[in-house]
Amino acid sequence: MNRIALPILMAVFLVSCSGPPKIRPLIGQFPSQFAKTYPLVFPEGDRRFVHAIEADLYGGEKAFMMGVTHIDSEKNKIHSILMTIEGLVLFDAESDGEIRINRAVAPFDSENFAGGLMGDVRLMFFRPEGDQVESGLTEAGSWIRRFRNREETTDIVIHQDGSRTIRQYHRNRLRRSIHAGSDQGPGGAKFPETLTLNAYIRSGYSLHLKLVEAEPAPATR
Amino acid sequence: MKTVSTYSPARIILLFIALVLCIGWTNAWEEMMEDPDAVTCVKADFIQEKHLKLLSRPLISKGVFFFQSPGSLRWEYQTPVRSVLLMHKGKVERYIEGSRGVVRDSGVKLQAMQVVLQEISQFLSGNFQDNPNFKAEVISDFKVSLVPEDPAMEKIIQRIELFLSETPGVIDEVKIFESRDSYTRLIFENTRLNETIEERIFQEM
Repeated sequence: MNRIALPILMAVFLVSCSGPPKIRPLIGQFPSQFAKTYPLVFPEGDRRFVHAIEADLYGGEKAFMMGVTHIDSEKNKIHSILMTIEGLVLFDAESDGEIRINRAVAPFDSENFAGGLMGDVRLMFFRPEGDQVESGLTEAGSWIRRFRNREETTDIVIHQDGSRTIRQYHRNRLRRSIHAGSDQGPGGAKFPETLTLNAYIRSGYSLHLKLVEAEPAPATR
Repeated sequence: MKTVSTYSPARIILLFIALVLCIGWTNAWEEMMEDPDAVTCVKADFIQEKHLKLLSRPLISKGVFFFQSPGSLRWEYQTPVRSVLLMHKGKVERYIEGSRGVVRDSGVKLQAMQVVLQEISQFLSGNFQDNPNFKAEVISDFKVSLVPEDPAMEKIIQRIELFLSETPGVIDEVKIFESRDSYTRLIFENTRLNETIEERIFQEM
């Protein structure tokens, strides 16, 4: 194990050991700022995004790609394409519950990779499955809503500056976190310009996404 | 599921660039074969359009490139992500501007580079017909089609169309078809031939 991998593994272990934070009850209703920001966390309807993706991989490797994502929240559908900066498509898959891989170039050609990627996209863009079980304030004073679906707990946290964090726990161990900046994307898009995903798993990784384009739903185009 | 495992992404990226450069800086292969040293340096701006069925309009990237025979290359994207591929004196490096400044892309393995460099050198010498990977066909005076010979490569790139300019040594456009849902169009502008290029262009980000 190299010198970079060990500290990463230790950090992943320490972070993933922390369970969901305590929620302080909020007296009264959620402030209007929360109400304004919350609907923007998960885009409604038919949307297409192009992101520049920077991946920090296990062992200190780095990779750069372009990602094209089509989501349809009503139909629960995802179509995801990863390509090189030169435009060569490395991975093309769709999911509507079942995953169909249209094209995959090694090392992106495993079912595990496809499943992990679709899971990450779903966590970024779709409302969590399950019921809301708690809501209130975090210790730091951010607004939080907690959803639970069997062994999975998902927290949606909206910070005072408008940025938001999504944390996903499995059996109370942190598995993924996503931080979305408060900056708006290019062209007046109502979506964050930056998204950072951290996967706290054995071969942990981080993805830094920068919004290049956001296409509106066809009906509003 | 359609998977391709014979070619690593790094090798494919370089082949991709090699194919773009197989533009054969002349409008007649025979002419190139007779005088392979006619074009020694090329500079050009390019616009890359990525057409996907998924997108209502193509994704646009812009950049510049420099080539000097026998094997020096700078292939630089300026938008939307700044990225520079440098090849010079057998050394290959790729730099990308990430969230924390410019970083060397460790995803590009030198071993794969060495193999592909040989292919690039072959393309750049105008030697299309001897390349075992592609079958070349002249469609018209200004259009050449390249079709992969290797079935593994055909799964990645179906065909390439080169559109040559009326000006000898200049290419107007390249289309790289990957599937029925995806192709890349490269449009070259401001092409300059045989102008001096400083060596640092192939060495520095």
